Amino acid sequence: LLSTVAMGSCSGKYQVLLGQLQQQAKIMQNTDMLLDPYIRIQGLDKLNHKEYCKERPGAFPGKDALRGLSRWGFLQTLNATLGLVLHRLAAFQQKVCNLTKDKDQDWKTLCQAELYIRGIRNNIFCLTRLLNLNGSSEVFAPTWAGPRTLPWPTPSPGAFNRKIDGCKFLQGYHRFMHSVGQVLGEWEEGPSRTRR
Amino acid sequence: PGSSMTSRDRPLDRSLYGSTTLRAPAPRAAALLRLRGFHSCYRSEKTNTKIPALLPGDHEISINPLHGSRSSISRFILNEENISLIPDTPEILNLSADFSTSTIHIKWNDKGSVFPHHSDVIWQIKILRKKKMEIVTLMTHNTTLNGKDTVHQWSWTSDMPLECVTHFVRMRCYVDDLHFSGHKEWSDWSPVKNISWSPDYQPKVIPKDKVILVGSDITVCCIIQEKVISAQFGKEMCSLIHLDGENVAIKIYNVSVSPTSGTNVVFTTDTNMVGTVIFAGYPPDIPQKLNCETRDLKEIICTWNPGRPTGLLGPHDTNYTLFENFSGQNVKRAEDTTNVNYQLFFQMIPNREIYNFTLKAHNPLGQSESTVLVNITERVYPHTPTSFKVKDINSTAVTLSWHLPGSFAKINLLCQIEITKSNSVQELQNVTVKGLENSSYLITVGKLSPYTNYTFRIRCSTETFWKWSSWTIEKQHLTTEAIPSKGPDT
Repeated sequence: LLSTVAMGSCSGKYQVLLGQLQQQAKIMQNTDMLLDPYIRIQGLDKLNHKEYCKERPGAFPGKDALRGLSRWGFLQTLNATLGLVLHRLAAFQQKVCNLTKDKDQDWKTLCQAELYIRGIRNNIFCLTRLLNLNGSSEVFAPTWAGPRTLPWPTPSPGAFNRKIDGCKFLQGYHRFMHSVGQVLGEWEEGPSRTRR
Repeated sequence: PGSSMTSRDRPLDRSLYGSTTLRAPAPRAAALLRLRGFHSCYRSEKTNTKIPALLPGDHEISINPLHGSRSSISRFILNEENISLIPDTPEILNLSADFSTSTIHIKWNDKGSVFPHHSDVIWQIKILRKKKMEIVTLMTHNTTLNGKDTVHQWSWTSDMPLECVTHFVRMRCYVDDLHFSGHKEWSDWSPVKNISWSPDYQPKVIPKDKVILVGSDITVCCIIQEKVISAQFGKEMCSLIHLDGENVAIKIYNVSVSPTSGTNVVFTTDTNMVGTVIFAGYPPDIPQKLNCETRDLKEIICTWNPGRPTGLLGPHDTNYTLFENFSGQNVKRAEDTTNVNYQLFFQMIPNREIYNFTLKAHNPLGQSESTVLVNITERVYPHTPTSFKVKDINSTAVTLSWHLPGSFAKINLLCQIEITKSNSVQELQNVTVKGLENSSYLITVGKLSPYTNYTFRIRCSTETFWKWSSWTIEKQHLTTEAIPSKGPDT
């Protein structure tokens, strides 16, 4: 089973869960959910950051790689990737969220993103359980060939380089969520029928 | 043709080290120098020679060329006043650098042992930068010769990181010998010495992630192989100070407090952007309203107000350590705590009532502390009593019972009962009970009216009052009916 633990209750309807995931992916691809506030918080908005804030190739699974997975593998990969994003966010926020989120809108937005991501992971858990209950043949298909952890290099030395790293990371994350939304959009209606 | 030597034309150098050098202005072949009165002769192949220091008074000097006619003998009277005191060139023994603080340390020996008596010495130290050796600063340092060799050390902190550009040092000295009546001059400058380090050719910005005090000035430099087009400090564009090669620097004055993520300093070239972050903040304020109390006489809770925000968070945040000075024990506030309350917990020491706490606050810019001495039995702020119950004894008396966690066996508790009769008359009764260990307590309340609605609630403190606990939840209670005073009127 997935390593995630359900936080909320699960809808028993495949269509509802799929719809929610599609909606959440759509929301999460907007850079104003994470990247834009991050750039402002880090003071990168005063620089020509766009040139230096490009996604690091291979950091997140590409659309084709996602499309090539079984639904189970896709959900596993999505869940693992979001787990790493949460880890990265937690490392960045540390206790700043508690100190500043009420005073600074960007910090507030950034701190809320964590809840959104947990919500997506909860739906992933529910959908996976639903697929499992329906004896989906895909349950034990392989997942994304990428390593369990993203191929993210050790953080660069120096605070400024780490700021740029974070910018690249979130750029990749939003692109990844865009790809997730597109792949989810191609999923068939019913839970038991295989995807193609 | 001899050159007439007048003492004015031919300054004699009375070296710091007790010898006199005679110099002739024009190049001369070998010469023989004779001091009348001392019957000493000195042969020299050069146009100068060193002779032992002369005693005060007049001395007749004659210079005889070894080759050439006797007619070109020069004679003159020499007095100390004709002599220039020119100290020997000082020698820098050791030049070292602390790159983290951009500080240069210079050591030299004043060779005071060769100087006859105490004298004030002025040392001039010149700092130069860049291969073009531009003068950065010229400073003086005063010492006193005391008849023995003394090694002096002097430090200078550069406004620019030492890795940004090569720094050179040289020095000279001036001996202000009050006993010497002649002319005194500066020594020659010492040979130049430079600070060396092993540059790597990766583009980088220095200092990296520096924490500075709000209001200070800072120089940030970029070590790079390609041409820097612009430099930015936060929003401000800065003018470039050109160093050696393509390296550049910017100087920022009176830096204001940084946002939580620090202020970016970025240098941009055609193909690259390199940067660092400067964190401008304050040292920790003296912790205010330091208060230590206990809820249960087992654990002490110290709370405080951090005072002025430092502007520094994350790894540069203020860390707090609570020291108990009698026992030497201390507790630290967890670094990665997401808990923003300013409090620390200290386990009470058995049979100890008096505690002398010092709370130390520290961040990269400094530290501060507050202290408080408490008798902890006088600082009890009990938990809210729980399991509060009301039971009838009879129609005019009830028992109230409650539980209070805590080790109160050695003190008396003061509890207050609020009795509200039928939502109108309210009465407060104070009662002292013997403290117990994690126990329940029971008291009786009498003089109630039979068959009447009462609301009870209770709170506790200690006999040596500090703070009331919170009130318990209210308990509604209807007293029982009284026994009829006479039978029914049948």
